[in-house]
Amino acid sequence: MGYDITYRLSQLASECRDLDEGLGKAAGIILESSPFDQCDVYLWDEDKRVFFLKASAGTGSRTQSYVEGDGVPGMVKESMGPVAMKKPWSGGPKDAGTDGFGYAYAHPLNAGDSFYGVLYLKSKMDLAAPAFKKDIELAAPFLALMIRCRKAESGYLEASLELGEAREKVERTEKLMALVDMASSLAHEIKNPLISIGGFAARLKRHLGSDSDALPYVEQMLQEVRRVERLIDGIMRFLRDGGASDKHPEDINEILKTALKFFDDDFRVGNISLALDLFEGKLPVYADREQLTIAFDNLIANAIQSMENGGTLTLTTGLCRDSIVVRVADSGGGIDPRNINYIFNPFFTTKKNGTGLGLPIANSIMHMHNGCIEVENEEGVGATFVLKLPLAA
Amino acid sequence: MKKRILVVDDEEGLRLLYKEELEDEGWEVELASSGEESIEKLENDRIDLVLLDIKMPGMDGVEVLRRVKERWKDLPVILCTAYPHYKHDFGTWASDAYVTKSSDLTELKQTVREILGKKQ
Repeated sequence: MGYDITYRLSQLASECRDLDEGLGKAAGIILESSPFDQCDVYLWDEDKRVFFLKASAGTGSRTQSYVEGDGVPGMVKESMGPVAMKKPWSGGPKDAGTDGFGYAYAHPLNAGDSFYGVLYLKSKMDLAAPAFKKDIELAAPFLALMIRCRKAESGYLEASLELGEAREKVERTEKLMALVDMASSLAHEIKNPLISIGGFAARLKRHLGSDSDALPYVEQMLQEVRRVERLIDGIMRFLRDGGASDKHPEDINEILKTALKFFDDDFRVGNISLALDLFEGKLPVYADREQLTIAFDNLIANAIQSMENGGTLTLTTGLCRDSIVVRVADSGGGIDPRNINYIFNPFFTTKKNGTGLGLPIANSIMHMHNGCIEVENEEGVGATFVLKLPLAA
Repeated sequence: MKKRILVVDDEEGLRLLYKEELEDEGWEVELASSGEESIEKLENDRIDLVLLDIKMPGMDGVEVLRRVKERWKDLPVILCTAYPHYKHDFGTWASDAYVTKSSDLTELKQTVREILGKKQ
């Protein structure tokens, strides 16, 4: 008998990879090889300090869980040794799991210094211990080792997954930092010669005089140089450290009006009408005026660019509890849902002449001001960028 | 006597551009291509204003600014750089003005006029 149960359990331990399945089969083997009518395996949860039923064989009554000190499993944990009890169950805590049975025997599941749970066996008839004691004493360590191995395996798996993720994160950060360094020195290297080109083109323009045929060429050069310069400044602004800002109490409506000044021509040329709905009275915010103007500037430019065939730009300011809310709404047909997760990523753009920096810059400026930007997208209608900033006391 | 400006920049193209533009404005212009050279010129020439690039190999603009303010306390310095964020670097506080480099020199010329105009 003893050889049979250990042989079958050792076979099972080497074949079965899944703990639930393994313990279920083990309970069946023990039940077949012993005089009991019910065989349950309870595992101890150290954090919750409770036993819960992990595997079961037999048809009798069983309890799903035992709190610490409760029932026969509780007695086993306290004594750290086998417990045998029989009807009328005197001398131990009440255990509903013994209903309908005449005899109960429970054995701790220990491996090394660790306690994993209890093997709990019940019989309708009263049993004499020597007939099964040896088998259970052999079976219990098998079960405990099985639990220990599977736990170690899943722990190892989890740890290696976590390690992999951490390594990936470090690699991503390193790549990003290298990219930032490269972009920063590239921007600097480009900017100086660009100023030289643009500056001399401006001198050339003055030398040519207003009636020269070559004037359009020079003007085109100047226009393109300014465009690249703006791009470079945008990159530098994006790469600069966030702490360097010059904050004072400001009125959000005033900043918005300043930003709007630069767009008169764009509204006219682009056939865009402006609808302003500004909060009556001041909306004080603790802000770097220059930076917030840039943020609005980028959002307004973004809205204008989205309305290639004209439309309406609606700017609203208001108050919502302790937050100033600014809404920049366009009627440009909205953002393709496939792109919506990328719009704040640097260098992502769907526009022919876009730099992919307008929204990321606006976003990083809002973060520097403890604010945020959300986007409300209505496909086919338009997009609304909702900015929230803390109201200054 | 014409006021004399010392332009300090390691980029040859920019030195030439600043020289021509500022001379057109009616100023006299001296050039230095490094921090070390600028100190030498300051020791030997009469200079009324320094136009100073920050990022230069060897002695950089912040170091030149420190030395200038130690030895020639009343000499005005305009810091001039590609990086907008140097404005907040405490090493640059001592300058009299700060201009972000641009191919549009209007702001730079205006700043020069304001400072040298004040001194006349």
